[in-house]
Amino acid sequence: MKNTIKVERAILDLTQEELAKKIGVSRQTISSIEKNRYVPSTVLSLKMSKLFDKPVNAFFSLTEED
Amino acid sequence: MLVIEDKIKLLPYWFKSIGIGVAILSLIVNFSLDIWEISIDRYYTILVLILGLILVSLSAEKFEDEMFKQIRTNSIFYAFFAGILAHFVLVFLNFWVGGSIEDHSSLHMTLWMLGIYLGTFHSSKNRLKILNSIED
Repeated sequence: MKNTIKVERAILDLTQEELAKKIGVSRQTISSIEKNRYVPSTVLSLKMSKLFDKPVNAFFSLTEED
Repeated sequence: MLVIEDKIKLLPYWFKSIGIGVAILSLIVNFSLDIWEISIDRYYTILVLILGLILVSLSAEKFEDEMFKQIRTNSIFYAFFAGILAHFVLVFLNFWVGGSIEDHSSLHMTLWMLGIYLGTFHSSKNRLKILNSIED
């Protein structure tokens, strides 16, 4: 799974810390998601979807490995 | 209706400091037994060490979120199978080498499993932190 969280975050001009605070996780988790080291839960993905005002599949997509 | 949800409730973060304190104290007492020849059964110092490590294991992180819970779950998986493996090694040694498994082996096994759990959890957490900071 790959994502464009970093781009979405830049559009809203948010730091990792600010995004983390808004969706109730640690900065480490945001950093890990951006680097595809951690795949977030549906709840967390939907929180990001609400914040970015975009559907989840606009910033998360499957790769061939999935 | 059966709902599979996260039901693990951890102790507050500050319990970790108490656990570390208890574990360090037990290690100091354990080493003191040899130096000053104090007459305390080593069994009790190991028991206190385990108590300290249990407190550390059951304490939440400063910011415990779903990723840390996932790392915790993976660590429990490794610790569980490391425990089973160690048990088989003990049984094997008991059978092939001879002698019976020590009376304290259940304590050592618990210590081993807690060690694997804490070691895996903290090394995964730190590795992630280092890798993320390198690429930031």
